[in-house]
Amino acid sequence: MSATLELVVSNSTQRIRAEASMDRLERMFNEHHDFIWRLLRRLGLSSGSADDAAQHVFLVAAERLDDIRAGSERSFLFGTALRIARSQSRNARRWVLEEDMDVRRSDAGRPEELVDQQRAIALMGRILAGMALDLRTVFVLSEIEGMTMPEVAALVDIPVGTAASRLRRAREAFRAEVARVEVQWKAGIKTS
Amino acid sequence: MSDLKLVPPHEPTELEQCLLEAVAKEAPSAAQRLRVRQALGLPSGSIAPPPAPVAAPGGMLTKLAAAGLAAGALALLLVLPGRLGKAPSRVVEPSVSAAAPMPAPSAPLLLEPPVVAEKAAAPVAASKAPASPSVKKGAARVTSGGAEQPGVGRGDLSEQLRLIESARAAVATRNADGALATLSTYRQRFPRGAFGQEASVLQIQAIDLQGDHARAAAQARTFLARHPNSPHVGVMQRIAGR
Repeated sequence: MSATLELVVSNSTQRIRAEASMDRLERMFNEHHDFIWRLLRRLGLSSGSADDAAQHVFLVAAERLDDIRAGSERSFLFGTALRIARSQSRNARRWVLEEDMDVRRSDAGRPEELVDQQRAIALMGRILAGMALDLRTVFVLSEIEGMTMPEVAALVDIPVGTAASRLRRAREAFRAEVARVEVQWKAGIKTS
Repeated sequence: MSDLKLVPPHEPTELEQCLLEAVAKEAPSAAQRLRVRQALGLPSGSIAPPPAPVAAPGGMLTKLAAAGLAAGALALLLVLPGRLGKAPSRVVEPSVSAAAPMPAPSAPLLLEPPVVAEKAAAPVAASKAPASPSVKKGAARVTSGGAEQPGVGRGDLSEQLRLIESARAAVATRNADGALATLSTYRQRFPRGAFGQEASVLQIQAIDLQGDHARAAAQARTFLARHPNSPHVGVMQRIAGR
């Protein structure tokens, strides 16, 4: 093969490989971006920090695409998100609620629904923050993301029995904390 | 072994169900998705939100969803205003742009606020998808996302990486002028590139290498104020402290 033809073939091969990589990256984005974002939120990042962290996760994946085994994309993204979340939570500012939440408008429904959804999300954030990270991770993957125990175990890289044990304990912690909130509310109503 | 044998299901309370549903519905904004797509060099394409997660059989989310009690749970919150303890004030996170535009090295180097980030709901010109159902801040948080850039295509991410790596190598060999020239090329070619933060960090390091420690420190402090959660915080803090 002549040198020129070799160069043409080489360039075409590189182009095909580059396109295949971008196709793979796009599939990863379409299939996993929202999951990664929600995971980062449940790991304690604020909405803005989760935006940045999600972008960071996918940029890391883009850089290391060739190292990611086919079929392991979600695991890679999950592991990267965990590391980034841990790193950011060490540097993160304390996140507290805005006092004027009630005045915010939404095109997603009635304003009071938006406020209550925000309150629910904020309360959930506080409850999850009180849960140990290993329990919280399994709880989020199972109860919010809807994964089965084998899926959770594979993703977190723990035995299925360990995942089940953590979920039981997480549920107990969650239930106890929600019950405590309800008791406080009811006590507040009686005294008002 | 099925999930039901591993972890016996139990009936969640109304409030538990409400809380789980609220976080399950939370989603990134369409602007956020577009921003990440652009950062990756992907075509804007459809940015309609993907389906919400499906509750696993036996999971807490399934039970009351089937019974349709979620509306009642939401009503529970409606009649309990202000009961979530004190509603404290919020520290509003600064909007972070992945590519804060920076002037050429010869000009006075000021890390200007990312203009796009401060505008509410900057038009997403390339998208025809409906607004994300995600609540709150999505529409007001458009940062570097926005109108599709001409010429940003699939090979651009590799080219961006090459320029950033070249600048990094120049800084490593203390070639400040070379680094600044490369970063100037990067900014001109990719004004909203994926590696805006890295470019800013390298520029500040190069200025520091040139001996202008005061200016580098000032810019490092601006960077830290704008990107408090950046992976480059350590490097910037060292320069800012000089």
